[in-house]
Amino acid sequence: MFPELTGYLFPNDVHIHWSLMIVMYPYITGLVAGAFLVSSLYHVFGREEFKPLGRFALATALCFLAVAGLPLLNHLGHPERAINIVVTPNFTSAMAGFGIIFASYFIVLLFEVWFVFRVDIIDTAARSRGLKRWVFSVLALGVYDTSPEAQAVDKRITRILAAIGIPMACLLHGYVGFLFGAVKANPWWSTPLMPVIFLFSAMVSGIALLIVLYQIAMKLKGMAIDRDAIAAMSRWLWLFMIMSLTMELLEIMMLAYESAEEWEVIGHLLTHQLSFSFISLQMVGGGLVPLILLAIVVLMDRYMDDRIRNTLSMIASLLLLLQVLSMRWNVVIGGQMFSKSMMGFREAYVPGMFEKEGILAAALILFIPFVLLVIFERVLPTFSHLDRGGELS
Amino acid sequence: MNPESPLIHTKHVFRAALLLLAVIVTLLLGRSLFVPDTWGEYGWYRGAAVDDHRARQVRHLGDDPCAMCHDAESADHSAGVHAQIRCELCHGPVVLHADLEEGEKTGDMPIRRSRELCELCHRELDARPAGFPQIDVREHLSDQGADLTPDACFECHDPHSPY
Amino acid sequence: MSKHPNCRNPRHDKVSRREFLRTTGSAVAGACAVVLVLPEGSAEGVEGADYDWNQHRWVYLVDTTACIGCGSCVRACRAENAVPEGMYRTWIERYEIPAEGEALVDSPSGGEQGFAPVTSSLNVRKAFFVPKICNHCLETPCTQVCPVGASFSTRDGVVLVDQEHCIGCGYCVQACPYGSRYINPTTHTADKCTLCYHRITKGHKTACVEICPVGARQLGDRNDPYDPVNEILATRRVQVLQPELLTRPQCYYLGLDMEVR
Repeated sequence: MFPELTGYLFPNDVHIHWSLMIVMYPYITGLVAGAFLVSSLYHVFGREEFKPLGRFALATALCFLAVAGLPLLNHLGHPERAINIVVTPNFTSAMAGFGIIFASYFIVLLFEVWFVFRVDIIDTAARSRGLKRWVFSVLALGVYDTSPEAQAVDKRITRILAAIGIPMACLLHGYVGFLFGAVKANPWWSTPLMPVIFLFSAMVSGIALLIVLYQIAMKLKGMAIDRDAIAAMSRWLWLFMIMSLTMELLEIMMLAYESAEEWEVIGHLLTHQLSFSFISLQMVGGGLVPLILLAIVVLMDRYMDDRIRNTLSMIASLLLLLQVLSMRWNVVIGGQMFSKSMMGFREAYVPGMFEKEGILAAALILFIPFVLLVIFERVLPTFSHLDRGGELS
Repeated sequence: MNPESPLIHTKHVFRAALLLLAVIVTLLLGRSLFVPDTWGEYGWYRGAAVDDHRARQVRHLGDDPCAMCHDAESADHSAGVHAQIRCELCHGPVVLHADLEEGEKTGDMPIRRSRELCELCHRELDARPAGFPQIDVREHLSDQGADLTPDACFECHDPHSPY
Repeated sequence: MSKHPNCRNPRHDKVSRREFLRTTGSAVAGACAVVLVLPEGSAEGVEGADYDWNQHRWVYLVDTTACIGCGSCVRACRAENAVPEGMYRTWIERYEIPAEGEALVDSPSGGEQGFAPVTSSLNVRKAFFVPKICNHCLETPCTQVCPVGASFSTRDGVVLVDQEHCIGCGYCVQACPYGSRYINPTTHTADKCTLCYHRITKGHKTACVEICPVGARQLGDRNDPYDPVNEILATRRVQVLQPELLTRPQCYYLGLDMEVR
């Protein structure tokens, strides 16, 4: 029951308070930020190669954002007091930013989804009867204007919202990086690079998620996987993962070079307690391998068969999804596996299967957005765009 | 509205904006319902929290209450080398033992009547200051010709006034 | 009346034992029970009612050369404050420093049941105990990161946690460089040494200071010109833990070795 300890730990440091739930939270908001970026690349910057994905990426972002608060609520000692974060926020704390940032980003995303899917909502209201008709009429806010002018207005507003949404999504995920990076008590967390590392790895996870989900969705619907979309996403993914890996390695190298007291502890941590999750998963299996796979996809794009491109990008994306998760694990859990005495370690933390903040809870939280996405797709078409004689949104 | 006006196709936008405004206003107004009463009295915290902490029960009350009923032991204690040692160090907080308001005993005082209690302070450890009275227990007992029993110390030392 | 004819206690002459217990007991119990609305307080006859937090600035002094590692402070704190098992508001560390090689540091159950002799074969030349508590920093990293304002500093320099407002997020526990905080498994809130606020505002000392048999721990008041702790801080060489972090701890140490974090 009691963890195995080596060296000397402060008596209160033997407990790990930030559990698997705290690993899940940045992971999920990361997926949201990355998916939102892809959607915005189309809606703001007009990158046509992302057009087939524009709506799907937005729906994905929304479905994952819907559950993003759950790991936190599950973890809090008093979830019924969670509202205190918005009632009496202490703004010297990065965590207090959560209330405002999360709420405002949720609003922006919700409204953007509404403007993008508004015509489909109206269509569904028109085609339905009874309760469904009533629900969709309310969702349409009682306005049934689907004229080209109205759609042009929708497009312009979508563009504005998506543009506002980009810095907000960055803030939504960046503040978590700041939350860790600003803790001077913990040398594994304390670095100015932390918000940037978090953000870039968030982009990696979001794009990887879209590559995986898009290919699966197209297979399930019997539709063709757009070549340009996959090629473009692979390019962006490769770019972001290079930046992310570079910064993660840079941090380690600086620590090793400066060889201050914290390197004794961190170096030991990375090569012993975290050797599997850091070296094998984060750096080699989740780092070097996808780097090579994506290099092939991007650099040999001209000569590549579509099916091979799809397969390689799929494998790379799955590995990267795992890599980002292990990176979150290594930061959150790793940072709690050594004591602030700088003289002691506890053994690896293994979350229980049926614990309140255990593996099953995490899996369930991660499973829900996929269910939501399926429901969303059933109700509002994310791929089968209706041709409305104008620019598709 | 003029049918040629560019605003004619923006009705839904105004509806959405109105909804947003309603949500924000509700949240801002609603917030004040939840702010605790004494918030901000002394700083960005609940003022009554200070009183919550002050209201806790004081459990260790020093040697005076003990002397009221246990004057014999108390007198011995004050006369010996343990005079500066608080009664409650060995015996625990007095509130476990007596209801001072009623002047009644409510329970036995926890006390470990064994060598282990003495050893907590007097067992020889190299981290202890050299001038502090400490003994190698086995050596001491064999020097005195005593056996290593749980209450070996009490054969020669009165814990209240051991020296 | 005392049953000892030689008893020196003057109180026994005047009043019966039971009656005396009742009056002093009720005064003490009254102080315990009453909730004081204003820190400046104005109620008559209640212990601590005239405590004005603007008149005090509490500091703490630990003399590591005096500590004998008996663990009485840990036990007293646990009893006084109902500290849950496995959690510590104060603890003792033992340092065994050999002539060559790594220092050996331990704190078996925080030192609560004392220490057993070291059984290593190290040639230990230097060994000592270091009591630790919450440092009640002036520039608290813990209060800085509390998202809801549940952690705060009082005007008399004590860092406290509002047990009714804390949401149990644990950020403060992560932010404390000294490992002073924990999540209370019963209340599910952040918890830590309160400098026995309920005692010091009523004229008592903290439980650990009262109980220490050798005076290794002392409570000081910066606002009291006659306080011996102030004299020590002004004239002797003192240290604080992890000074480079500039948390400005108000727990000062005498005789701190470079090995101590």
